[in-house]
Amino acid sequence: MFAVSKAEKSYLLEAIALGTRVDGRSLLEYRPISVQVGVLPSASGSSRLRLGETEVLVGVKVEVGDVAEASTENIQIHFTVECSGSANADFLGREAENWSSELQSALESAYQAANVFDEDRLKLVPGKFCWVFNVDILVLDTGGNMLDAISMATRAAFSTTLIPRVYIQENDGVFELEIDDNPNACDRLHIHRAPTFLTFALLGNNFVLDPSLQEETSARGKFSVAVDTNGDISYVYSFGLLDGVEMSKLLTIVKKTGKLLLDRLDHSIENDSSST
Amino acid sequence: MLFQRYGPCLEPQSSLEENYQRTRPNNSLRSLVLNTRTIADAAGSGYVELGRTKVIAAVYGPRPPLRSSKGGVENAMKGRLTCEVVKSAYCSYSCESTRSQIGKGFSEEERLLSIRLVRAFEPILLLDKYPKCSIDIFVVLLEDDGSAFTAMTLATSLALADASIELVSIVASATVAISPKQEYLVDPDKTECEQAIALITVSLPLHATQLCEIYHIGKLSAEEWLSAVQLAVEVAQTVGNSMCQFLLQEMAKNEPSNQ
Repeated sequence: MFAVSKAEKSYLLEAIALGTRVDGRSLLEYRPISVQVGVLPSASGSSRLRLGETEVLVGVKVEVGDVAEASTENIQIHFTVECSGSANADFLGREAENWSSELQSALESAYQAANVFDEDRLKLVPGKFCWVFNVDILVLDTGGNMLDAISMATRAAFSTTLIPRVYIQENDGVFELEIDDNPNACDRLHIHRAPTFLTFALLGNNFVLDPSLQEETSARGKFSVAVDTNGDISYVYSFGLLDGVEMSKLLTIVKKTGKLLLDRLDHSIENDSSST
Repeated sequence: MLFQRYGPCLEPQSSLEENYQRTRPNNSLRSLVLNTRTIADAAGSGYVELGRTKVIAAVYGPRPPLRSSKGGVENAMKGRLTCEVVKSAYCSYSCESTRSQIGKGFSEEERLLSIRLVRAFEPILLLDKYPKCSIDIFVVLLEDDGSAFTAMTLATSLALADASIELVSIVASATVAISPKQEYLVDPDKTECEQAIALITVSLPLHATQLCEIYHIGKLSAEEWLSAVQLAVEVAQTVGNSMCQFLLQEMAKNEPSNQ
Protein backbone atom coordinates (compact mmCIF):
# COMPACT_ATOMS: atom_id res chain seq x y z
CA MET A 1 0.00 0.00 0.00
CA PHE A 2 1.23 3.43 -0.92
CA ALA A 3 1.67 5.69 2.08
CA VAL A 4 2.84 9.23 2.63
CA SER A 5 4.62 10.17 5.83
CA LYS A 6 3.62 13.18 7.88
CA ALA A 7 6.70 15.14 6.87
CA GLU A 8 6.19 14.41 3.19
CA LYS A 9 2.57 15.40 3.44
CA SER A 10 3.24 18.73 5.12
CA TYR A 11 5.96 19.50 2.55
CA LEU A 12 3.51 18.72 -0.21
CA LEU A 13 0.77 20.86 1.29
CA GLU A 14 3.06 23.81 1.93
CA ALA A 15 4.32 23.72 -1.62
CA ILE A 16 0.78 23.66 -2.95
CA ALA A 17 -0.22 26.56 -0.73
CA LEU A 18 2.60 28.49 -2.44
CA GLY A 19 1.22 27.58 -5.85
CA THR A 20 3.65 24.92 -6.98
CA ARG A 21 3.81 21.16 -6.80
CA VAL A 22 6.44 18.66 -5.76
CA ASP A 23 7.05 17.55 -9.33
CA GLY A 24 7.39 21.12 -10.54
CA ARG A 25 4.02 21.50 -12.18
CA SER A 26 1.68 24.40 -11.58
CA LEU A 27 -1.63 23.61 -9.88
CA LEU A 28 -3.68 23.24 -13.03
CA GLU A 29 -1.24 21.43 -15.25
CA TYR A 30 -1.33 17.91 -16.60
CA ARG A 31 1.66 15.62 -16.58
CA PRO A 32 3.09 14.78 -20.01
CA ILE A 33 0.71 12.58 -21.97
CA SER A 34 1.85 10.18 -24.64
CA VAL A 35 -0.57 8.14 -26.68
CA GLN A 36 -0.14 5.41 -29.23
CA VAL A 37 -2.99 4.00 -31.30
CA GLY A 38 -3.42 0.71 -33.09
CA VAL A 39 -1.29 -1.27 -30.65
CA LEU A 40 -3.45 -4.41 -30.64
CA PRO A 41 -3.74 -5.89 -34.13
CA SER A 42 -6.66 -8.17 -33.28
CA ALA A 43 -8.85 -5.42 -31.83
CA SER A 44 -11.05 -3.13 -33.88
CA GLY A 45 -9.50 -0.15 -32.19
CA SER A 46 -6.88 0.17 -29.51
CA SER A 47 -4.65 2.61 -27.73
CA ARG A 48 -1.97 2.76 -25.12
CA LEU A 49 -1.73 5.91 -23.09
CA ARG A 50 0.75 7.13 -20.57
CA LEU A 51 -0.02 9.97 -18.20
CA GLY A 52 2.98 10.54 -15.98
CA GLU A 53 3.51 7.14 -14.39
CA THR A 54 -0.01 5.93 -15.09
CA GLU A 55 -0.21 3.62 -18.04
CA VAL A 56 -3.33 2.07 -19.54
CA LEU A 57 -4.10 -0.15 -22.48
CA VAL A 58 -7.52 -0.08 -24.13
CA GLY A 59 -8.93 -2.40 -26.74
CA VAL A 60 -12.30 -2.02 -28.47
CA LYS A 61 -13.93 -4.98 -30.12
CA VAL A 62 -16.95 -4.47 -32.37
CA GLU A 63 -19.54 -7.19 -32.87
CA VAL A 64 -23.05 -7.55 -34.17
CA GLY A 65 -25.32 -8.74 -31.40
CA ASP A 66 -28.95 -9.68 -30.95
CA VAL A 67 -31.38 -7.47 -29.10
CA ALA A 68 -34.72 -8.10 -27.53
CA GLU A 69 -37.69 -7.57 -29.85
CA ALA A 70 -39.12 -4.59 -28.04
CA SER A 71 -35.96 -2.58 -27.52
CA THR A 72 -35.02 0.21 -29.88
CA GLU A 73 -31.32 0.38 -29.06
CA ASN A 74 -28.82 0.29 -31.88
CA ILE A 75 -25.74 0.22 -29.74
CA GLN A 76 -24.56 -1.51 -26.61
CA ILE A 77 -21.33 -0.66 -24.87
CA HIS A 78 -19.74 -2.87 -22.25
CA PHE A 79 -16.78 -1.61 -20.30
CA THR A 80 -14.46 -3.91 -18.41
CA VAL A 81 -11.71 -2.43 -16.32
CA GLU A 82 -9.00 -4.67 -15.02
CA CYS A 83 -6.40 -3.40 -12.62
CA SER A 84 -3.27 -5.42 -13.06
CA GLY A 85 -2.07 -6.86 -9.77
CA SER A 86 1.50 -6.00 -10.62
CA ALA A 87 0.73 -2.30 -10.88
CA ASN A 88 -0.04 -1.63 -7.27
CA ALA A 89 -0.19 -3.61 -4.04
CA ASP A 90 -3.68 -2.20 -3.53
CA PHE A 91 -4.91 -4.12 -6.54
CA LEU A 92 -5.43 -7.36 -4.70
CA GLY A 93 -8.65 -9.03 -3.69
CA ARG A 94 -11.56 -6.84 -2.83
CA GLU A 95 -9.72 -3.55 -3.22
CA ALA A 96 -9.11 -4.24 -6.90
CA GLU A 97 -12.78 -5.04 -7.41
CA ASN A 98 -13.72 -1.76 -5.78
CA TRP A 99 -11.43 0.16 -8.07
CA SER A 100 -12.55 -1.52 -11.22
CA SER A 101 -16.26 -1.32 -10.49
CA GLU A 102 -15.90 2.36 -9.67
CA LEU A 103 -14.00 3.19 -12.84
CA GLN A 104 -16.32 1.02 -14.89
CA SER A 105 -19.49 2.64 -13.64
CA ALA A 106 -18.07 6.13 -14.11
CA LEU A 107 -17.21 5.44 -17.74
CA GLU A 108 -20.47 3.64 -18.39
CA SER A 109 -22.63 6.46 -17.06
CA ALA A 110 -20.60 9.14 -18.79
CA TYR A 111 -20.77 7.43 -22.18
CA GLN A 112 -24.44 6.65 -21.79
CA ALA A 113 -25.34 10.21 -20.89
CA ALA A 114 -23.15 11.81 -23.53
CA ASN A 115 -24.90 9.86 -26.29
CA VAL A 116 -21.60 9.48 -28.06
CA PHE A 117 -22.45 7.64 -31.22
CA ASP A 118 -24.09 8.74 -34.39
CA GLU A 119 -27.16 6.52 -34.14
CA ASP A 120 -28.31 6.97 -37.73
CA ARG A 121 -25.02 5.93 -39.26
CA LEU A 122 -24.82 2.83 -37.11
CA LYS A 123 -28.31 1.59 -37.76
CA LEU A 124 -28.75 -2.13 -38.32
CA VAL A 125 -32.13 -3.79 -37.96
CA PRO A 126 -33.96 -2.21 -35.01
CA GLY A 127 -35.32 -4.83 -32.65
CA LYS A 128 -33.20 -7.56 -34.24
CA PHE A 129 -29.53 -6.68 -34.43
CA CYS A 130 -27.38 -4.03 -32.86
CA TRP A 131 -23.74 -3.12 -32.61
CA VAL A 132 -21.98 -4.30 -29.49
CA PHE A 133 -18.84 -2.50 -28.39
CA ASN A 134 -16.72 -4.37 -25.89
CA VAL A 135 -14.21 -2.05 -24.32
CA ASP A 136 -11.50 -3.81 -22.36
CA ILE A 137 -9.31 -1.60 -20.26
CA LEU A 138 -6.16 -2.79 -18.57
CA VAL A 139 -4.35 -0.62 -16.06
CA LEU A 140 -0.69 -1.49 -16.42
CA ASP A 141 0.78 0.95 -13.98
CA THR A 142 -0.62 3.46 -11.54
CA GLY A 143 0.72 6.88 -10.76
CA GLY A 144 -2.54 8.44 -9.71
CA ASN A 145 -5.45 9.79 -11.70
CA MET A 146 -6.45 6.56 -13.41
CA LEU A 147 -9.86 7.88 -14.42
CA ASP A 148 -8.53 10.65 -16.66
CA ALA A 149 -5.99 8.35 -18.27
CA ILE A 150 -8.62 5.70 -18.93
CA SER A 151 -11.12 8.14 -20.41
CA MET A 152 -8.53 9.65 -22.74
CA ALA A 153 -7.30 6.24 -23.82
CA THR A 154 -10.88 5.08 -24.43
CA ARG A 155 -11.56 8.08 -26.60
CA ALA A 156 -8.37 7.47 -28.53
CA ALA A 157 -9.25 3.82 -29.04
CA PHE A 158 -12.79 4.64 -30.16
CA SER A 159 -11.65 7.28 -32.62
CA THR A 160 -9.48 4.74 -34.41
CA THR A 161 -12.10 1.98 -34.30
CA LEU A 162 -13.04 0.62 -37.71
CA ILE A 163 -16.58 -0.61 -38.30
CA PRO A 164 -16.99 -3.21 -41.03
CA ARG A 165 -19.59 -2.48 -43.70
CA VAL A 166 -22.68 -4.58 -43.38
CA TYR A 167 -25.22 -5.33 -46.09
CA ILE A 168 -28.70 -6.15 -44.92
CA GLN A 169 -30.91 -8.44 -46.98
CA GLU A 170 -34.49 -9.20 -46.22
CA ASN A 171 -36.20 -12.39 -47.34
CA ASP A 172 -39.80 -12.78 -46.18
CA GLY A 173 -39.21 -10.97 -42.93
CA VAL A 174 -35.99 -12.84 -42.19
CA PHE A 175 -33.02 -10.55 -42.07
CA GLU A 176 -29.61 -11.65 -43.15
CA LEU A 177 -26.49 -9.70 -42.47
CA GLU A 178 -23.55 -9.96 -44.74
CA ILE A 179 -20.33 -8.51 -43.48
CA ASP A 180 -17.90 -7.26 -46.08
CA ASP A 181 -14.84 -9.48 -46.21
CA ASN A 182 -12.60 -6.83 -47.63
CA PRO A 183 -10.51 -5.49 -44.74
CA ASN A 184 -10.39 -2.07 -46.40
CA ALA A 185 -14.16 -1.76 -46.53
CA CYS A 186 -14.43 -0.23 -43.11
CA ASP A 187 -15.70 3.05 -41.77
CA ARG A 188 -14.14 5.13 -39.07
CA LEU A 189 -16.27 5.73 -36.03
CA HIS A 190 -17.15 9.36 -35.36
CA ILE A 191 -17.01 10.09 -31.68
CA HIS A 192 -16.62 13.83 -31.35
CA ARG A 193 -19.07 13.84 -28.49
CA ALA A 194 -17.09 11.38 -26.38
CA PRO A 195 -16.31 12.96 -23.02
CA THR A 196 -13.07 13.07 -21.12
CA PHE A 197 -12.71 13.15 -17.37
CA LEU A 198 -10.94 15.86 -15.46
CA THR A 199 -10.01 15.06 -11.90
CA PHE A 200 -9.07 17.53 -9.20
CA ALA A 201 -7.73 16.62 -5.79
CA LEU A 202 -8.44 18.86 -2.84
CA LEU A 203 -5.24 19.50 -0.93
CA GLY A 204 -5.40 22.03 1.86
CA ASN A 205 -7.62 24.71 0.40
CA ASN A 206 -6.44 24.31 -3.18
CA PHE A 207 -7.61 22.19 -6.02
CA VAL A 208 -4.92 20.56 -8.11
CA LEU A 209 -5.57 19.06 -11.52
CA ASP A 210 -4.31 15.60 -12.42
CA PRO A 211 -3.12 14.45 -8.97
CA SER A 212 -0.17 12.11 -8.76
CA LEU A 213 -0.33 9.03 -6.52
CA GLN A 214 1.34 10.93 -3.72
CA GLU A 215 -1.11 13.79 -3.99
CA GLU A 216 -4.06 11.44 -4.26
CA THR A 217 -3.05 9.69 -1.04
CA SER A 218 -2.75 12.92 0.92
CA ALA A 219 -5.85 14.56 -0.56
CA ARG A 220 -8.91 15.20 1.57
CA GLY A 221 -11.29 15.16 -1.34
CA LYS A 222 -11.66 14.56 -5.03
CA PHE A 223 -13.75 16.13 -7.78
CA SER A 224 -14.16 14.33 -11.11
CA VAL A 225 -16.09 15.74 -14.04
CA ALA A 226 -16.75 14.28 -17.48
CA VAL A 227 -16.83 17.02 -20.07
CA ASP A 228 -17.13 17.07 -23.85
CA THR A 229 -15.93 19.58 -26.46
CA ASN A 230 -19.03 21.76 -26.04
CA GLY A 231 -18.38 22.07 -22.33
CA ASP A 232 -21.41 19.98 -21.42
CA ILE A 233 -21.16 17.85 -18.32
CA SER A 234 -22.17 14.21 -18.38
CA TYR A 235 -20.88 12.90 -15.06
CA VAL A 236 -19.77 14.41 -11.77
CA TYR A 237 -18.57 12.68 -8.65
CA SER A 238 -17.05 14.49 -5.76
CA PHE A 239 -16.38 13.61 -2.16
CA GLY A 240 -14.63 15.28 0.74
CA LEU A 241 -15.73 18.59 2.18
CA LEU A 242 -15.69 21.25 -0.49
CA ASP A 243 -17.12 24.73 -0.64
CA GLY A 244 -20.14 25.29 -2.84
CA VAL A 245 -18.72 28.56 -4.13
CA GLU A 246 -15.61 26.83 -5.49
CA MET A 247 -17.67 24.83 -7.94
CA SER A 248 -18.48 27.51 -10.49
CA LYS A 249 -14.79 28.42 -10.58
CA LEU A 250 -13.85 24.79 -11.11
CA LEU A 251 -16.38 24.39 -13.88
CA THR A 252 -14.95 27.26 -15.91
CA ILE A 253 -11.52 25.65 -15.62
CA VAL A 254 -13.02 22.31 -16.60
CA LYS A 255 -14.66 23.79 -19.68
CA LYS A 256 -11.50 25.49 -20.89
CA THR A 257 -9.03 22.73 -20.09
CA GLY A 258 -11.36 20.01 -21.32
CA LYS A 259 -11.68 21.56 -24.74
CA LEU A 260 -7.95 22.12 -25.03
CA LEU A 261 -7.20 18.58 -23.92
CA LEU A 262 -9.65 17.01 -26.34
CA ASP A 263 -8.41 19.09 -29.26
CA ARG A 264 -4.81 18.22 -28.54
CA LEU A 265 -5.69 14.54 -28.15
CA ASP A 266 -7.61 14.43 -31.44
CA HIS A 267 -4.81 16.25 -33.18
CA SER A 268 -2.10 13.87 -32.01
CA ILE A 269 -4.22 10.81 -32.82
CA GLU A 270 -4.81 12.19 -36.31
CA ASN A 271 -1.08 12.62 -36.80
CA ASP A 272 -0.23 9.24 -35.35
CA SER A 273 -2.71 7.21 -37.37
CA SER A 274 -1.95 8.98 -40.63
CA SER A 275 1.76 8.30 -40.29
CA THR A 276 1.32 4.56 -39.76
CA MET B 1 -56.59 1.32 -8.98
CA LEU B 2 -55.45 -2.21 -8.53
CA PHE B 3 -51.81 -1.83 -9.45
CA GLN B 4 -51.23 1.03 -7.05
CA ARG B 5 -51.78 -1.39 -4.28
CA TYR B 6 -50.31 -4.58 -5.59
CA GLY B 7 -47.77 -3.39 -8.14
CA PRO B 8 -48.06 -3.82 -11.87
CA CYS B 9 -48.87 -7.54 -11.96
CA LEU B 10 -49.87 -7.66 -15.61
CA GLU B 11 -49.26 -4.10 -16.69
CA PRO B 12 -46.09 -3.77 -18.72
CA GLN B 13 -43.76 -1.12 -17.42
CA SER B 14 -43.94 0.95 -20.62
CA SER B 15 -47.67 1.64 -20.42
CA LEU B 16 -47.21 2.69 -16.83
CA GLU B 17 -44.62 5.22 -17.89
CA GLU B 18 -46.85 6.74 -20.53
CA ASN B 19 -49.65 7.31 -18.08
CA TYR B 20 -47.30 8.61 -15.48
CA GLN B 21 -48.17 11.93 -13.92
CA ARG B 22 -46.43 13.53 -10.99
CA THR B 23 -49.12 14.12 -8.40
CA ARG B 24 -47.32 16.65 -6.24
CA PRO B 25 -45.65 19.96 -7.07
CA ASN B 26 -42.19 19.70 -8.66
CA ASN B 27 -40.45 21.19 -5.66
CA SER B 28 -42.07 19.18 -2.90
CA LEU B 29 -40.79 16.05 -1.22
CA ARG B 30 -42.66 12.84 -0.71
CA SER B 31 -43.80 12.08 2.82
CA LEU B 32 -40.79 11.57 5.04
CA VAL B 33 -40.82 9.09 7.92
CA LEU B 34 -37.96 9.05 10.39
CA ASN B 35 -37.34 6.65 13.21
CA THR B 36 -34.46 5.60 15.44
CA ARG B 37 -33.78 2.56 17.62
CA THR B 38 -35.31 0.14 15.17
CA ILE B 39 -32.66 -2.48 15.86
CA ALA B 40 -32.24 -3.39 19.49
CA ASP B 41 -28.76 -4.90 19.29
CA ALA B 42 -27.02 -2.09 17.45
CA ALA B 43 -25.32 0.86 19.11
CA GLY B 44 -27.58 3.04 17.02
CA SER B 45 -30.01 2.58 14.20
CA GLY B 46 -32.16 4.64 11.92
CA TYR B 47 -35.09 4.03 9.65
CA VAL B 48 -36.11 6.32 6.82
CA GLU B 49 -39.05 6.27 4.45
CA LEU B 50 -39.12 8.60 1.49
CA GLY B 51 -42.48 7.84 -0.03
CA ARG B 52 -42.12 4.15 -0.71
CA THR B 53 -38.33 4.04 -0.57
CA LYS B 54 -37.49 2.39 2.73
CA VAL B 55 -34.06 2.04 4.33
CA ILE B 56 -32.77 0.68 7.62
CA ALA B 57 -29.29 1.57 8.83
CA ALA B 58 -27.51 0.18 11.88
CA VAL B 59 -24.26 1.32 13.46
CA TYR B 60 -22.07 -1.00 15.49
CA GLY B 61 -19.17 0.52 17.31
CA PRO B 62 -16.84 2.00 18.23
CA ARG B 63 -15.58 -1.53 18.76
CA PRO B 64 -12.37 -3.43 18.14
CA PRO B 65 -12.11 -4.39 14.49
CA LEU B 66 -13.51 -7.82 13.67
CA ARG B 67 -11.23 -8.71 10.80
CA SER B 68 -7.77 -7.30 10.97
CA SER B 69 -7.44 -6.23 7.38
CA LYS B 70 -4.81 -4.06 5.77
CA GLY B 71 -3.82 -0.77 7.28
CA GLY B 72 -3.33 -2.31 10.73
CA VAL B 73 -6.18 -0.75 12.66
CA GLU B 74 -4.76 -2.09 15.90
CA ASN B 75 -2.07 0.57 15.87
CA ALA B 76 -3.90 3.25 13.97
CA MET B 77 -4.28 6.68 15.52
CA LYS B 78 -7.58 7.07 13.73
CA GLY B 79 -10.67 4.96 13.80
CA ARG B 80 -11.84 3.14 10.73
CA LEU B 81 -15.21 3.43 9.07
CA THR B 82 -16.64 0.47 7.18
CA CYS B 83 -19.93 0.16 5.43
CA GLU B 84 -21.97 -2.62 3.91
CA VAL B 85 -25.00 -1.91 1.78
CA VAL B 86 -27.41 -4.71 0.95
CA LYS B 87 -30.31 -4.41 -1.43
CA SER B 88 -33.15 -6.70 -0.53
CA ALA B 89 -34.21 -9.15 -3.21
CA TYR B 90 -37.68 -7.66 -3.34
CA CYS B 91 -36.69 -4.00 -3.39
CA SER B 92 -37.91 -3.22 -6.90
CA TYR B 93 -40.07 -4.58 -9.71
CA SER B 94 -37.36 -4.78 -12.30
CA CYS B 95 -36.22 -8.23 -13.35
CA GLU B 96 -32.56 -7.30 -12.84
CA SER B 97 -32.98 -7.36 -9.12
CA THR B 98 -34.22 -10.95 -9.11
CA ARG B 99 -31.69 -13.13 -7.48
CA SER B 100 -29.11 -13.66 -10.15
CA GLN B 101 -26.74 -12.36 -7.53
CA ILE B 102 -27.34 -15.01 -4.91
CA GLY B 103 -24.19 -16.59 -3.60
CA LYS B 104 -22.01 -14.08 -5.39
CA GLY B 105 -21.46 -11.87 -2.39
CA PHE B 106 -22.01 -8.23 -3.15
CA SER B 107 -23.31 -7.00 -6.44
CA GLU B 108 -21.50 -4.24 -8.28
CA GLU B 109 -24.15 -1.73 -7.34
CA GLU B 110 -24.08 -2.57 -3.64
CA ARG B 111 -20.32 -2.25 -3.60
CA LEU B 112 -20.44 1.19 -5.21
CA LEU B 113 -23.08 2.38 -2.79
CA SER B 114 -20.93 1.20 0.12
CA ILE B 115 -17.89 3.06 -1.16
CA ARG B 116 -19.93 6.20 -1.67
CA LEU B 117 -21.36 6.07 1.85
CA VAL B 118 -17.93 5.60 3.41
CA ARG B 119 -16.51 8.50 1.43
CA ALA B 120 -19.41 10.77 2.27
CA PHE B 121 -19.17 10.10 6.00
CA GLU B 122 -15.41 9.84 6.48
CA PRO B 123 -14.78 13.60 6.73
CA ILE B 124 -17.87 14.04 8.92
CA LEU B 125 -16.94 11.58 11.64
CA LEU B 126 -14.34 12.66 14.17
CA LEU B 127 -12.32 9.52 13.64
CA ASP B 128 -9.39 10.93 15.62
CA LYS B 129 -11.45 10.38 18.75
CA TYR B 130 -11.71 6.64 18.17
CA PRO B 131 -8.16 5.32 17.82
CA LYS B 132 -7.78 1.58 17.20
CA CYS B 133 -11.50 1.25 16.74
CA SER B 134 -13.79 0.34 13.94
CA ILE B 135 -17.21 1.83 13.33
CA ASP B 136 -19.30 -0.41 11.15
CA ILE B 137 -22.39 0.71 9.30
CA PHE B 138 -24.87 -1.75 7.84
CA VAL B 139 -27.54 -0.49 5.50
CA VAL B 140 -30.44 -2.47 4.10
CA LEU B 141 -32.49 -1.09 1.26
CA LEU B 142 -35.91 -2.59 1.86
CA GLU B 143 -37.75 -1.00 -1.01
CA ASP B 144 -36.39 1.12 -3.83
CA ASP B 145 -38.72 3.70 -5.30
CA GLY B 146 -36.12 6.21 -6.44
CA SER B 147 -33.75 8.49 -4.50
CA ALA B 148 -32.36 5.47 -2.66
CA PHE B 149 -28.96 6.96 -1.91
CA THR B 150 -30.57 9.99 -0.31
CA ALA B 151 -32.61 7.74 1.97
CA MET B 152 -29.49 5.73 2.83
CA THR B 153 -27.55 8.86 3.77
CA LEU B 154 -30.37 10.11 5.97
CA ALA B 155 -30.76 6.74 7.69
CA THR B 156 -27.02 6.44 8.28
CA SER B 157 -26.97 9.94 9.67
CA LEU B 158 -29.77 9.14 12.10
CA ALA B 159 -28.09 5.90 13.12
CA LEU B 160 -24.77 7.62 13.82
CA ALA B 161 -26.49 10.29 15.89
CA ASP B 162 -28.42 7.60 17.74
CA ALA B 163 -25.18 5.75 18.48
CA SER B 164 -23.77 9.02 19.95
CA ILE B 165 -20.79 8.92 17.64
CA GLU B 166 -19.11 12.28 17.46
CA LEU B 167 -19.86 14.03 14.20
CA VAL B 168 -19.04 17.39 12.70
CA SER B 169 -22.69 17.71 11.86
CA ILE B 170 -25.78 15.80 10.82
CA VAL B 171 -25.60 14.92 7.14
CA ALA B 172 -28.58 15.78 4.98
CA SER B 173 -29.09 14.78 1.40
CA ALA B 174 -31.38 15.36 -1.56
CA THR B 175 -31.89 14.09 -5.10
CA VAL B 176 -33.03 16.22 -8.00
CA ALA B 177 -34.01 14.82 -11.40
CA ILE B 178 -34.25 16.81 -14.58
CA SER B 179 -37.15 15.54 -16.65
CA PRO B 180 -37.16 15.41 -20.48
CA LYS B 181 -39.30 18.56 -20.33
CA GLN B 182 -36.47 20.38 -18.52
CA GLU B 183 -38.37 20.47 -15.24
CA TYR B 184 -36.47 20.15 -12.00
CA LEU B 185 -38.12 17.39 -9.98
CA VAL B 186 -37.25 17.19 -6.31
CA ASP B 187 -37.09 13.74 -4.71
CA PRO B 188 -37.94 11.74 -7.85
CA ASP B 189 -39.55 8.31 -7.63
CA LYS B 190 -38.49 5.29 -9.63
CA THR B 191 -40.33 6.18 -12.86
CA GLU B 192 -39.05 9.73 -12.74
CA CYS B 193 -35.50 8.48 -12.18
CA GLU B 194 -35.72 6.19 -15.18
CA GLN B 195 -37.12 8.86 -17.46
CA ALA B 196 -34.86 11.64 -16.25
CA ILE B 197 -32.18 13.05 -18.52
CA ALA B 198 -30.05 13.88 -15.51
CA LEU B 199 -29.96 12.91 -11.85
CA ILE B 200 -28.10 14.76 -9.12
CA THR B 201 -27.60 13.64 -5.54
CA VAL B 202 -26.04 16.05 -3.09
CA SER B 203 -25.10 15.34 0.54
CA LEU B 204 -23.99 18.02 2.91
CA PRO B 205 -23.21 18.55 6.58
CA LEU B 206 -26.06 20.68 7.85
CA HIS B 207 -24.09 23.07 10.00
CA ALA B 208 -21.30 23.89 7.60
CA THR B 209 -21.40 25.71 4.30
CA GLN B 210 -19.79 22.82 2.52
CA LEU B 211 -20.79 19.79 0.53
CA CYS B 212 -19.58 16.29 1.29
CA GLU B 213 -20.77 14.47 -1.80
CA ILE B 214 -22.04 15.23 -5.25
CA TYR B 215 -23.03 12.53 -7.70
CA HIS B 216 -24.38 13.44 -11.05
CA ILE B 217 -25.19 11.47 -14.19
CA GLY B 218 -26.74 12.80 -17.37
CA LYS B 219 -25.87 15.48 -19.86
CA LEU B 220 -26.27 19.09 -18.78
CA SER B 221 -24.62 22.41 -19.45
CA ALA B 222 -22.52 23.88 -16.64
CA GLU B 223 -25.07 26.59 -15.82
CA GLU B 224 -27.98 24.16 -15.62
CA TRP B 225 -25.90 21.89 -13.48
CA LEU B 226 -25.05 24.62 -10.99
CA SER B 227 -28.68 25.67 -10.61
CA ALA B 228 -29.72 22.03 -10.09
CA VAL B 229 -27.08 21.65 -7.39
CA GLN B 230 -28.31 24.85 -5.79
CA LEU B 231 -31.84 23.48 -5.66
CA ALA B 232 -30.65 20.17 -4.21
CA VAL B 233 -28.71 22.01 -1.51
CA GLU B 234 -31.78 23.99 -0.49
CA VAL B 235 -33.93 20.86 -0.31
CA ALA B 236 -31.27 19.00 1.65
CA GLN B 237 -31.16 21.80 4.20
CA THR B 238 -34.92 21.61 4.75
CA VAL B 239 -34.71 17.85 5.17
CA GLY B 240 -31.77 18.25 7.54
CA ASN B 241 -33.64 20.75 9.69
CA SER B 242 -36.58 18.41 10.12
CA MET B 243 -34.14 15.62 10.97
CA CYS B 244 -32.59 17.76 13.69
CA GLN B 245 -36.01 18.55 15.10
CA PHE B 246 -36.87 14.88 15.15
CA LEU B 247 -33.65 13.97 16.96
CA LEU B 248 -34.24 16.66 19.58
CA GLN B 249 -37.76 15.37 20.16
CA GLU B 250 -36.51 11.83 20.54
CA MET B 251 -33.89 12.98 23.01
CA ALA B 252 -36.47 14.82 25.09
CA LYS B 253 -38.68 11.75 25.06
CA ASN B 254 -35.92 9.42 26.22
CA GLU B 255 -34.42 11.70 28.82
CA PRO B 256 -36.64 10.78 31.81
CA SER B 257 -35.94 7.09 31.37
CA ASN B 258 -32.19 7.71 31.39
CA GLN B 259 -32.18 9.36 34.76
